[in-house]
Order: sequence, then structure tokens, then C-alpha cells
Amino acid sequence: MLEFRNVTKRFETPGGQEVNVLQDVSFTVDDDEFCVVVGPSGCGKSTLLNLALGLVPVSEGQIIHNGKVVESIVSSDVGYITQDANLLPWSTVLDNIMSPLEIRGVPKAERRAQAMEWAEAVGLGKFVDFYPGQLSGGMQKRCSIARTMAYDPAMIYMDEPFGPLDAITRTVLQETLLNLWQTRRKTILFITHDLVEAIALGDTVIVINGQPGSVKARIPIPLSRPREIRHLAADTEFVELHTKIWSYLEPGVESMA
Amino acid sequence: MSTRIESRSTAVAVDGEIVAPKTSSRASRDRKWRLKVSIGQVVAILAILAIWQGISGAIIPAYLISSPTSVISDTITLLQTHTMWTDISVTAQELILGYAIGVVFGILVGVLMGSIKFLSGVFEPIIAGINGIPKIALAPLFLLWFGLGIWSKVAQASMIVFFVMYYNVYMGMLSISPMLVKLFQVMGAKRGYVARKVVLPSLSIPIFAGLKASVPFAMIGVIVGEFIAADKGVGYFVLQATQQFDSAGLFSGIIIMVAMVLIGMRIVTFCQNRVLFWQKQGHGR
Repeated sequence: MLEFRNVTKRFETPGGQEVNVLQDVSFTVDDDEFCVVVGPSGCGKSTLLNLALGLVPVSEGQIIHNGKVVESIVSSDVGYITQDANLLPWSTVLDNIMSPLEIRGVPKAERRAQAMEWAEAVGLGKFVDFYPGQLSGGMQKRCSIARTMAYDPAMIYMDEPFGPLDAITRTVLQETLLNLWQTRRKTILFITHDLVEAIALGDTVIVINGQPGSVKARIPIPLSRPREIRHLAADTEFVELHTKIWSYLEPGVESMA
Repeated sequence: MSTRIESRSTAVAVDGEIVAPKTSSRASRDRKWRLKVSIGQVVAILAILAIWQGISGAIIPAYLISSPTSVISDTITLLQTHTMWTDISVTAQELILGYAIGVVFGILVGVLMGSIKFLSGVFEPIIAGINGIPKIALAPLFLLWFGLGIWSKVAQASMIVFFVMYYNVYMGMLSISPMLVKLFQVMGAKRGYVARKVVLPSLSIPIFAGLKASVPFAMIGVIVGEFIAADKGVGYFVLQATQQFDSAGLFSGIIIMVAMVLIGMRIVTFCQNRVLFWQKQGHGR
């Protein structure tokens, strides 16, 4: 379980002024919940994730991860999937997927087998000997998902992972992610600026808006699972949710864009 | 190992499909183009040699510029003498030792400065200041410190190589992706793992850039050292030839130096192709 308690984050500008990026943010992510944080660019979404991972310290308030206050880099039982795939360009797809298993001291034969299994699961079975530079952006992203799933962390943080992809690839990958999550439940905190993605994936959508960013709404998504993302746009419930979430994003969006 | 790599580089993956390598007509066009360039190069070199041969003696006195034919015959004769091979082996020793010492220290200092902020804060301006010295001006000092033998030349070469390596590695350290390092920390990687699997491979590109650039620089250091004071070595031979107005011998000496540098470069390129095989394939997309 992850809990934000009245978290405020301040940064100092090069001019020496203090600027609040996040203001009094409180919310919880339950175990096995798929929680999506959505907000316009510049509202502090990525900062929120960096705080949760302990990559940067909070200014006020507390973040509690599995009963412990986050004070330094969280590195036990968590996964992190970033906007760029961040693969090792000098390692093959299989070696990349194996690296977290190697860190955990899994014996070589076993980590090979596990990595192979995950490569198959994300559709990279034929490309295990390829180098990241030989893969398309979507395939690199698949590889980074497989790398994270391979060591089976209880919680995964995702920072706009599908942001740089084209719309078709994005939809396919969202479906892949949901299928993996359906078979192997995990707590996910997913950051995005894409409303459709937020509704399509999440159990809960947390809307962050404003400068400094603060929580505007916590909206449960009652859409039944499994979901067919490519056909969601025609669903009336989806359209209602979309309109509702937009209403929380509306104030101030014009000035930010 | 190498055959596996080759088979990889012939195909490129595009979301779920393997795309065929270049079509055969494109390949044959490439081959024709390369042949054309090679022929052009040979013709250009032959033309330059022909002009050189033509003006030698006729327009410019032969003792100033010699001629291709006498340079070639001189080089062949020289390579059959015992003294030339002694000179070559002395220069080669100086070159290898100077290069190796400069490379090792350059990498060490570069890594240290790149990983400890306090060190780079203190020493960066000092190193930049020392680098400002025209290093050839230090040759008499090295002679004083290390004597007439090979070590004054080794010191001169390693001094120059050190700065080339140091700057390449230091800049390489600064350009390592902090995001990649953070990601591995979140994955649970300890310092040693990050150093081995992330930092070192990231440095391989700047290290090889430095290794390549350093070969001719090492030769400059060695030759300058031999020019100042020596009784053996290719540089010493060239100096002797000059003093005797033996321009054919002078050119022969230069040809031998160039050959040594080119061999050094080939060795580095060979190692680079083994280590950086992953990099070449990235540029296709």
C-alpha cells in the first residue's frame, strides 16, 4: 500500500525563489489497485512519482510505502517504467530482461528461462538476441515492461510509459499491459496526461491540476474488466467518465497550454 | 561469436516482423560505387607520385624533395639493415609504453574526477592549467629527469596521451544517463553492479575515441623526445638524415613512422569492433 499524507514539494528556482510544485497532496493506493494519476503538463505529476520512489525528498508531509516512511531511494519490491525505455543499448533483449534477476542473484539457467518466458509474454520471443538499437520504440517499451515484470515486484510505478508512442502502438501496448496485470495482479501507480488512457486502464483516476498541483478529484472507474480498449470510445459509460474528468481539468488548462 | 553478430546485423526488426536486408540491386550498386571510389583513390595517388617524380631534379633539386623511386628503393634497403630495425624497435617500445601509461592514468583520473564532485571541483582548473602548457616545451625537463634513454620519450608521450584520454573519459562520465542509473538503483542494483553494467559500458565509446586519437599523439611525443636527445630511434634516424641532406632517408623515416601509427590505429580499431559491436547497429534506425 502507498499513502501520500499532505505532501508538499518546493523547488528553488535558479533565481533563488521558492516555487511550490505540489501542494498538500493526499491519497492512497490500495494493494493490487491500478491507480492512474492524470493531469495537464506542468502540474507536478512526474515529481509525484519521483517523490514516491524516494528519488527526490518531500518538502512537507510524508509518503508511506508498505508501512515505512520513504526517505531514500525505494529499491525493494518495486518496479519503475519510464517514458524512455531506458534499456542497456549494449545488451540484447534477453540480457536486458535478465538484468534485474541477475541483481537478485537468480541462478543463470533459471533467469534465462524466466526472461525467455517474459519475452514471449510481451511478444518479443523472436527478438531475444536483438539489441535495443535494432528494435522499434514500441518493442523497446515491451522489453522494458518484460524487464520489470520478470522480477515480479509487488508495486510498479509508471511514468507516462506510452507517451512517446504512436496511437496504434499505444493502444496495443495498453492492452498487453492490462492482460499481464489481469493474470498477475500488482499495485500500479500510473502517471499520464492522456485522459482516455487513464480511464481505459485505471480502477481509480486521481485528477491533479493547478500550479502548484493538488488533488482535484478521486474518481472510481466502474468499467467492467477485461476491457477492450480499442472499442471503449463507443461506450456510453466511458463518454460520461470522460466528460466528468474533463470538468476537473478545465479550470486553468487554457493558461497552461 | 563473430558469425552470430553478422547474422544479426543483416536483418532489422520492425514490430513483429523481420525486414529483409538491402535488396540485391542496391547491394550491387553499393559495390560498384565502392569500386569507383577505390579506382579514383589509386589514380589520385599515382598522379601525385608522378608529379613528384617529374619535378624532382627538373624543377626542384633532388636533395630537397628526393623522388618516389629513390624513396622506395631507400626504404627497401633500409629495412634490410640491422640498425633500422633497432631504431624501429626502440621507437615502438617508447610508443607502446608511453601510450599505455598515458591511457591508464587518463582513464583512472577521468573516472575519479567524474565520480567524486569534490575532487573535480578542486582539480579541474588545475588540470586545465597544466594542459595549457605546450607539452613539447617540457621535453628538456623530461630529458633532465629521465635521462637520454627511452624513459624521457615515454614520459613525453604519456604526458600528451594522458590529457587526450582524461578529457574523453571525464566528459564521458558526465554524459552517463542519470535516469538509467536511477532506474537500476530502483531495481535494487548496488554500486558495483551499476559500475560494471552501466558506467563502464557507457564509457566504452569515449574511451575508444580517446584510444584512437591518442595513437598519433603518442608518436608526436616519442619523436619530439628523440629529436631533443637520443642515440637510437626512428626520430633520431630522421634527424640524422636531415643533417646529412639525405632527403630520401628522411622520407623513408617518415614513411616508417606513418606505418607504425597506422598499425597502432588498426589494432585499436580491431579491438573497438569487438567491444562496440552493439553500437554500429543502432544507427540504421
